[in-house]
Amino acid sequence: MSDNIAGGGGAAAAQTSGSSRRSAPPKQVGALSRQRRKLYWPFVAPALVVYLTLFFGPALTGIWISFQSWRGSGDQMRFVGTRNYVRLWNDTAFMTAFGNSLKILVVCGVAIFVLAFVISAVLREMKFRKGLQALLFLPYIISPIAIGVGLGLLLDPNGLVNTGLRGVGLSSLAKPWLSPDRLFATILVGIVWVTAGFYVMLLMASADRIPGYFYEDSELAGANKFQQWWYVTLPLSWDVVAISAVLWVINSLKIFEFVYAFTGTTDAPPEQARTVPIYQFVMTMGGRNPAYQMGYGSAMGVAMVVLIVVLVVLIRRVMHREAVTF
Amino acid sequence: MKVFRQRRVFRAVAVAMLVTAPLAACGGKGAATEAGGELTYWSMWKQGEDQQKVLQAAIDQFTKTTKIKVNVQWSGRDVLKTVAARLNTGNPPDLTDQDGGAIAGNLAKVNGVMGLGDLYSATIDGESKKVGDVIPAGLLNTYKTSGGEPYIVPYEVVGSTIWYNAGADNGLAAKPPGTWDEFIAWLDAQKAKGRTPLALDGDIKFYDAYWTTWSIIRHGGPGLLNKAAQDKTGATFDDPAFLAAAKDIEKLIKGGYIVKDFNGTKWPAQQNNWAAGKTPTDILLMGTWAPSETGPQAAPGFEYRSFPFPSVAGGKGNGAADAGVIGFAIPAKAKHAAEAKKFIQFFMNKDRLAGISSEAKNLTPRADVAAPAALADYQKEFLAAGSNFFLPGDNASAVAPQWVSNVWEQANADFFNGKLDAAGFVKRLKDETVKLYENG
Repeated sequence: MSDNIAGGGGAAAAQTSGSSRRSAPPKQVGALSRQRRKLYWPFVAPALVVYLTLFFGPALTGIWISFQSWRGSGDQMRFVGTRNYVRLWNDTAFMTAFGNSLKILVVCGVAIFVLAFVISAVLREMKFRKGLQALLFLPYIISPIAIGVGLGLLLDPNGLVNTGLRGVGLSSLAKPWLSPDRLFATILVGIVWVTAGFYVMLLMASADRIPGYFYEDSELAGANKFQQWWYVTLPLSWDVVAISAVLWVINSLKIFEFVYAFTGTTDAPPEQARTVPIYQFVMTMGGRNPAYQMGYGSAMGVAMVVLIVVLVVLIRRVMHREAVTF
Repeated sequence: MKVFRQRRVFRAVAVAMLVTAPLAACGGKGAATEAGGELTYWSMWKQGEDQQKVLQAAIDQFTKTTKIKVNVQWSGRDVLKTVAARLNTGNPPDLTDQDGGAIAGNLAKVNGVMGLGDLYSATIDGESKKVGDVIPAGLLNTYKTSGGEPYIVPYEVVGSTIWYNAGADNGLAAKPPGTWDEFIAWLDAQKAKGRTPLALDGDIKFYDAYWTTWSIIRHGGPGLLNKAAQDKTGATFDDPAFLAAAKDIEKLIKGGYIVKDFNGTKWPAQQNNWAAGKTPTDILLMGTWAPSETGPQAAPGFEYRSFPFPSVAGGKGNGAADAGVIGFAIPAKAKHAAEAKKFIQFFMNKDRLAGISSEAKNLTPRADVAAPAALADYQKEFLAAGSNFFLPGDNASAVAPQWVSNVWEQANADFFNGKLDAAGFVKRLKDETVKLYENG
C-alpha cells in the first residue's frame, strides 16, 4: 500500500519534470481512483447505515404498518389491506383535521409571506434593523409550549388583551377569543405571529446580498419603493423565496405543539382545532386513554407525506426560474 | 503495508470495544440478587409528590425487614406506555401502578396483567385480615382477568362529587339538595341573588361531560352509557333515560346557572376563580382531587365539603357513587411477581396505607382508615353506595377511547355551547355512534 503511494508521488514528480507526459497520467489516475474506490465504501458505509436504519427503515415500516391493524408493541399485527385508507376517506374527524391543516398552510402562508415581504422591505430602510430583526425572530425561538400557555392567559375573557381594549375605549372589540367558535381563528393568528419572524430573517438575509447600486440605479430611473421591490428585490432573491415556500409547506403541515399547548391539557383538543398531526396523536398515543390505533395513525402519516411531496414538487415547478447571478 | 496492518489492528480494537462496551456496562447489575431477592417497581408518581414520599417510606421499611431490594423508578403518569412496550420484549417491571382505567386500557386489554386471586386471599402484613377483606368487591367489578381474578389492588379511591364552600353563605352545609327538584330550586334561589352558581372549566370537555354522565347514571343506572358507547347499532340511545338526562342538563345549560364565559377560558381559570371567590359561583362538580388542586388558590376560610349528585324521580342509579381506583398491578411475565405481591401485602397494612390519607390527602379503599377532612363527605357517599359504583365516565374511555374523543366529547361540547338541544344531543350521539362503527 505504501509502495503505491510512493509510486504515485514519483509519477507526479515525473510529470512536473515533464519527462513522460503520456504514460504518467493514466498510471496516476489509475492508482488514485483505485485508492478512491477502496476508500469509497468505508467512507460512505457509516452514513449509509445510519440513514438506512434510522430514516429509510422506519419510513418503510410506517408504510407497512399503515396496512395493518396494530396496537403497538405487545400486539400481533393483523393485515387489513387498504382498510385504514378507506377509513381515512370516510372519517369526518380526519377530514376536519385535514381541512384545518390546509387552512393553516394557505391562510397563514399568505399572511406570513405578505407580512414578511412588507416587514423586510420596511426594515431595509430602518436604523435599528438588527435589533428589530432579533425582536421579530424572538417568538420563533421561545418554546411553543410557553407561547401557547402565555397566549391562553393573554386571551382570557378578562386577560390583558381584553382589558387593554376596554381600557382604550374599544370594549366592542373585546371578545372571548378562546370560545369554541373563535378558537381556530385565534390559533391561525397565533401561528402567523410566531412564524413570520423566521421568514423575515430568510428574506432579509437574501436581500442584504443585493448590491446597493441596483437600488441607486432604479432610483435614478424614477422607480418608487414598490417598483424597487418588484423589479430589484424580488427577482434577485427569488431562489430564497422559493426555498422559503417549500420550508413553509413542510413546516405548516407538521404543526402540532403550538396547537396542543394552546388548547391542550391531558385531553384531546376539540375537533375544530385539530390538525392532522394532532388527530394522529389522538388516534395513537394521546388522550386520557390512548386509542393505540397505530395502523390508522401510520396511514395518516403516509397520506401527509404524499401530500407534502406533491405540494413541494408543484411549488418547485411553479416557482422555477433561471437563477439570476450578480 | 505496515500502515495498513496497523489500521487493521486499530479497526479490530475499535469494533471489539464497540461490541463489548454495553456488556461491560451491564456487568455491575447481576450481583444484586442475593439475600432476600429483588423487585423492579415503575411508578406513576414523580419524585417529590406526596404519594411518592409515602411509598418511598414504605419501600425503605420493606427492604429493611424483608431484605428484598426494590429497584424503583418514579416515572410519572405515562409509565404504562413504557410498561406496555416492555411487555413485548419480555422484561417488564415486576410492579407498576396507575389509574384503574389506564391499567385496563393499556395492559389488561392485551392480557398484560397477572390475575391476583392468590394475593386477595393472602393476609396483610402485620394483620389477621386478608387483602380481600379490606377492599370493597364493588371496586373490582370491571378489573378482572378473563379467568375472573382481579388484577388491580387499589390503594387510592378517586371519584367525582359536587364541591362547595361550607364557610360561605350558600345554605348548602345546613341542607344540601337531595333531589333534582330541590337542586333546581336551590339554583333558582342563588340565581335570584344575582349569582351563577355553577363553576365549570368548559374547555375541558371531560368536565362538561361530568354533568351529562352523572345525569345518565342517575336516570339509567351504571353501565348504560358504557353499553351505549359500544353499541354498533346505536339502539341503546333509544333508552328513555338518555333523553330524560339530556333534558335535565339542558335546563342547566339554558337556565343561566353556569358561570359566564365558562367556555372561553383556559383550565384551571374557572375552578381557581371558584375557590378564590372571584366569580359569583358556588359549586363545582369535580374529582376528589379538587381540594388539593384548588387549595392553594382558595379564599381564606374556604371549607371544602361535598354532596352527592342529586337523585332523580324513578332513577335506576340513585344510590350509585363514582369511584375509580388508583392501584398496583403486576405485569404478565414479571420475573419477581412473588416479591411484588409481598410488597403489596406489606403496603396494604392499615398504618402504612394511612399515609395516603394523612400525608397525600387522598381517600384509601379501607373503611377503617379515616379520610382527610375535605374528603369526609365523599367517604360517606362512597361507603353508603356499598358496591353500587361506577367508574369515571362510566368507564367508556377504557372500552371505546375513539368513541369518547370523537363522538361523546364533541357532542357534549356542542351541547354545552348551545348548539344542540336535548333531543338533538341524543340524536347526534346515536347517529355519530352508528357512523363511527360503520367506518371503524
